[in-house]
Amino acid sequence: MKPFAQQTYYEILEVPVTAPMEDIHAAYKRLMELYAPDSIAVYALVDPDQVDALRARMTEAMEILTEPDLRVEYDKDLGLPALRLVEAATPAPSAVERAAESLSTAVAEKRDGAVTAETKGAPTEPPVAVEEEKPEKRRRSAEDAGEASNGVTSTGVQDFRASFFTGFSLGYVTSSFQMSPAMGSAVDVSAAMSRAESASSEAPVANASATEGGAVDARSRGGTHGEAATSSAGVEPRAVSAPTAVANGLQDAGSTPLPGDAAGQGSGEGTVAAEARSRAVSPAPQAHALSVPPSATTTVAEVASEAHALAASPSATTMGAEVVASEAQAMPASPSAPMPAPEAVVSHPQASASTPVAVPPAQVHASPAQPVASTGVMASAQVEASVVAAPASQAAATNTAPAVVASAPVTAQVEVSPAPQPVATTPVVAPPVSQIASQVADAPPVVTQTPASSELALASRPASRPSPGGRRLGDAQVLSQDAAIATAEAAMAQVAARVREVRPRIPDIPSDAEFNGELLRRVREARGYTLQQVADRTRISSRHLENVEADRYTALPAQVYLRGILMNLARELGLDPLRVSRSYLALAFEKSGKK
Amino acid sequence: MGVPMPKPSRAPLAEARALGTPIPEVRVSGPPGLGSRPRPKRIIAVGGGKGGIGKSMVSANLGVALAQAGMNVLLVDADLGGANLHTCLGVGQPEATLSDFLRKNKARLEDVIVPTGVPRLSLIAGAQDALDAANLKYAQKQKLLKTLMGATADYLILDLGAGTSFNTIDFFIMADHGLLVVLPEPTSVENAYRFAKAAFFRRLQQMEAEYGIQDVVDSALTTREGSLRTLHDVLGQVRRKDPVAAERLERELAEFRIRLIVNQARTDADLSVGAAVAAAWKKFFGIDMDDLGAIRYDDEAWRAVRKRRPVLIERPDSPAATAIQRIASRLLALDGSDTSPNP
Repeated sequence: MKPFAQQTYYEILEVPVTAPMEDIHAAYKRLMELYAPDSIAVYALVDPDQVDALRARMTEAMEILTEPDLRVEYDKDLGLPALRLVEAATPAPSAVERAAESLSTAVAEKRDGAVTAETKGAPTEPPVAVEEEKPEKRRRSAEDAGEASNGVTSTGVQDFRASFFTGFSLGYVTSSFQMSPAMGSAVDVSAAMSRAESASSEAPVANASATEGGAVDARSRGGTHGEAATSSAGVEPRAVSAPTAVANGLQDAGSTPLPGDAAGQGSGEGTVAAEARSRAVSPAPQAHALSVPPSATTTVAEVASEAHALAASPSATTMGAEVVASEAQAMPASPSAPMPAPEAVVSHPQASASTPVAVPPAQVHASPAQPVASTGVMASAQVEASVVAAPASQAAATNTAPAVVASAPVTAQVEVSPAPQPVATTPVVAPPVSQIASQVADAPPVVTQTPASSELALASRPASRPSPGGRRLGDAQVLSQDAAIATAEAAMAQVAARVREVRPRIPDIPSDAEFNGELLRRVREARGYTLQQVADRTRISSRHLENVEADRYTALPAQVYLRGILMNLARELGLDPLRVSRSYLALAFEKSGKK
Repeated sequence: MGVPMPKPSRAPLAEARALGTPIPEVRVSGPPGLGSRPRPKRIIAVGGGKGGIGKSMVSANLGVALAQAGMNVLLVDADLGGANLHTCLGVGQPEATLSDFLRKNKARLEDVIVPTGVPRLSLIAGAQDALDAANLKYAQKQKLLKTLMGATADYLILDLGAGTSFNTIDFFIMADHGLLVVLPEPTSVENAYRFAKAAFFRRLQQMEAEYGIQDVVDSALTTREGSLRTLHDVLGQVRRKDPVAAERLERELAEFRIRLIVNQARTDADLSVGAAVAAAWKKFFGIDMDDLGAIRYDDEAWRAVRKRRPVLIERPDSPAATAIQRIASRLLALDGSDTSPNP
């Protein structure tokens, strides 16, 4: 039971957080009728201004929630998964079916050529994994997947698949977010924000011709327990129609505090120490930009991304873990793209639950180094993937963080090796440039994101999904800037709130102090009140107050009144009323000899 | 609340005898563990704040509907200042009324129960003769409350008077189902809200000693500016002092649920007034209210009152009658699903 002023926009409009746009409009319309000034239902219920306030807030809620971008931002603030950017057009079941279908194809493909220049087969998100999820999560992720896939229909099959999976895996991340919303939100706003910031950009898939877009997504899911951290990393190089090929790395949520790890966040460091237990890992299609003209590189900012905490050891997971194939391919730069070939690739073992599949765990090293001209950041990632067939593979999480400074490119390497233990990543941060350090597993990475840096840092977040309505790569900058600003604001707001709470210090008052007029005056002044302000607030005439402070006992009213005055005054000053009145009256009695 | 009655009343039995019908097994209700301590299985209070909105009509017909559904129902006219439930049922001037019970020290409730002519439905008529009956003294009220709690019936329906005096409110909040009758018009809605607020604050007041929040509740009840205005404020205040108590308080307040009945709905829009009121109430106070349904404005109902017969008997297929039957079945469903006895 909370007053409407504290309700979220969703609560205000009485819609589920997944409500599509039409529902929100409909709810708004209905509520405006219900709370219309002449509505009988609110007649005499509360003050008219309260109704007005409610209506204003509803309007605000409607405006925010019906604006996709704003809604995403708002969801981030709430710590909600940003699932519903795109309305789910596809019913969940079909999404699942599709998943199954592509799963099978992926498997088949994988069988034939694990290493090809292009990997298309996405390793598969085992449907089983889906199954394990709680129903609602499942629904969501399926939905998400559906959305994702929908968004991409126009693009090639591979892209479709890649993005499909991306969506899918994002769905998972999301759900994990959801699992621990309380923690996440409890923690602090800035954390939430930074999370938000990490949201990545999803690049719309452009034309396949230029590049083959692949999405790499690695994610580990944290269990519900705080111990697990979820990190998702997606790397999606995508070709944008412009000559510039951009590879975006999505950075993983790991760098931002995840909801899962409330503990880490509290401190504000944004570190997450967690061991990632990953249950489901998403497939990693990998990508490489094939034809990236070298010249393009100048304009391209590459983000290296990385990271991935992957799977936990099978035994660790409550259910058996299975690792599903991930194939990672490392494609060095395509011929056409000489050096700066962005490549990304990642692999990911997937651990999924029940059905053991023999899957090769993949190792990936990504060393991203890309020169970026304008931004001055380059990261190229190299990924090596080794495919091993190990039925039970454990993946270790690792991460990566490429920070690149213009002048001195720093390469980050990501290694994902199947190791039972999560590897900590070291974040590299270049202060002037911002960068993202992502971290994963147990290493608490510090997230430093300066606003400037935000351009590069993309974090992959559930929010991102390729959607027609989603953001384009080009928006990333804006987005991240906004996010950075929001983060800064949130931090400031927090500080401000803290400051506000502390009342100005009052002089130390010894426990045996006598409250004479002088002391009361000092306290008042320490509080920053003028005599008139106190008079207005206590409704004691300023003449009396003056007399009290001047210890003009004879000018003061009779004791009964004086006591009332003193008590009110003390209360206003935050002193103990009884003590003040007793002490002052004793003095008055003593000094004046009367009463 | 459960104070054992000296003797279980045998109302249904007596009535059955009077009617010459086969004697039904008198069911001892209540939680199994409590043995034979009689108490009504469910108490329904019908209030509404404003006068003339059909509280008595709803009570009488609801009683008929529940009785027709096989329940033993005892209707009590708790409208001490303006009793007319007997008229709605066509009982005529009853020879024994509530005031007899209140006045005489040793009176037993069953002495004032009169049959209504409807099987399984009996009545305790309101005070007719004592003109000061409305001003119930505290001890009298306690006696009445205790006695009513001990009455044996499946359903005890209290038809409350208008207004929000403590005499009325106390009966209302003692009930398992507090039915709030409203008409889709501002005057009635206004009074209904006031009634509901008064009921919650009264409830708070009753709990206050237990939670040590007397001062807070008192300040909530005095509506001076700057004082606590809503339950949120009260709970917030209590929470500051004692989070655990606040939680229990909140739970207990939430347990007491008001159920709305919209009477005399003339338009389709009127039918949804109940839902709207419940939504607005929830929005501002965070407390759930149920919308039990609306009763259409129906000339048959009015004609039935003129004939001094319950519309449910007079015209069982009229819109008003069917609406009341629907409400009755909803109540039965609520109680059926809620198996835990509510002491």
